[in-house]
Amino acid sequence: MMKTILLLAVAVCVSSTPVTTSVKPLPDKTLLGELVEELIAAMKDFPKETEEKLIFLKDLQMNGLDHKEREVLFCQVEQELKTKVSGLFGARFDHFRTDKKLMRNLNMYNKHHVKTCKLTDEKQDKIPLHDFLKNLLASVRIAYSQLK
Amino acid sequence: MFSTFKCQIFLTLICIALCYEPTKEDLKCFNDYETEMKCSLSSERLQSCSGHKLNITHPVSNMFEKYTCIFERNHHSDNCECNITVEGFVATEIFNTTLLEGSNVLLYKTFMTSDFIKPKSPVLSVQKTENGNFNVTWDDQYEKHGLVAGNFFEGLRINLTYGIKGGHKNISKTVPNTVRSYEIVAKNLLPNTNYILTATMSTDYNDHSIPSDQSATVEFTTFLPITETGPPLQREPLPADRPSSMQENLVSRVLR
Repeated sequence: MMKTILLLAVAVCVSSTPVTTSVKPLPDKTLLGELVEELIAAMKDFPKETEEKLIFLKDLQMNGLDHKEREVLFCQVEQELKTKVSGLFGARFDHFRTDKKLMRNLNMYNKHHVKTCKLTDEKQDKIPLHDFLKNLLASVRIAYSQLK
Repeated sequence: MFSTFKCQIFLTLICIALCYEPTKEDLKCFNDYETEMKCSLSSERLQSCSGHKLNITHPVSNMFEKYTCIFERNHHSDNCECNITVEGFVATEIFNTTLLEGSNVLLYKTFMTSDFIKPKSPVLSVQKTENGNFNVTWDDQYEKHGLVAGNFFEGLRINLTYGIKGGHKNISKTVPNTVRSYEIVAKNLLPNTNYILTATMSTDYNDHSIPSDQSATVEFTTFLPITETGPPLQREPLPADRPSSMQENLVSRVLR
């Protein structure tokens, strides 16, 4: 009798769990490919002009990285953009809003690659936003080309 | 006590026969990777769409976008359908759906964006070329420089299918969306014959697993060949029910 009740209880519990579809492996190529496009579009709003030099971001090491180091970099990039650019007033910063595709693609890439984001020292050297984006674009392109 | 037990069995059997308990296969959702997500609920035992809705949560950059999708009957398909507008899609983002009848939860289902992309149906056009062939072009219906990435465009494929109108054999050709056109060589077709052409599109974001709905049909007509020497071939009189415009030139109509 007890066994029957236990089996029924298990059956009820199992039947009430959410029905989910299986999630396939992450398509990095898609995320990085779209990130390249979004960065190119965003950079058009930030030509190398004096005015935009008011926005400075950490000069993160973006060259000569291996795959793991690049994963860490992209996570740091997301944090840096979120804290210093995403909330800025002005239409040209719309690309960096957290609900726009640039940041969403970056966020999804990081969610599946980095468990904890290693934060960098705030005293680190700073560079203008234009240069930051240019370096980032180069790094994303390398990551993308290695997947093709 | 035994009669109560029999009553419970009887009620259970009645419910199995009449109650609507959908499975996850009954709920299908598709997105066009631009702004629209459409869901449909189909079941022979679904009496009415009324009261059925889908609560959808969509995690976006550590926030949650929430939508309510209320089902209504589609008289063409006889399914319950609903749709929501999303501000752009990202390939690996998740949509968590909860199917409700009133406040009663019927099922949960999760969709990953790339897995359920169903591209928009293309709009076809056919023009006769100078050399007598048929140039097929199409509009993929996506707004360029909008919410859809170039990568997505480049990964679209169009599957063209054409054959004799009323016939049973069709020819299928698949080409990348980026080529923008496809030429059907007239010498490979029967002369003085009506052909129909349709197409679907698919994306490599999900290995082309979900084709779009079929495009509207486009019709084109081949003509009788003219000999190089001597007078033109005598044409057979056309049957009374054929349109008078079917003469030397191409007839191209969109049938809807």
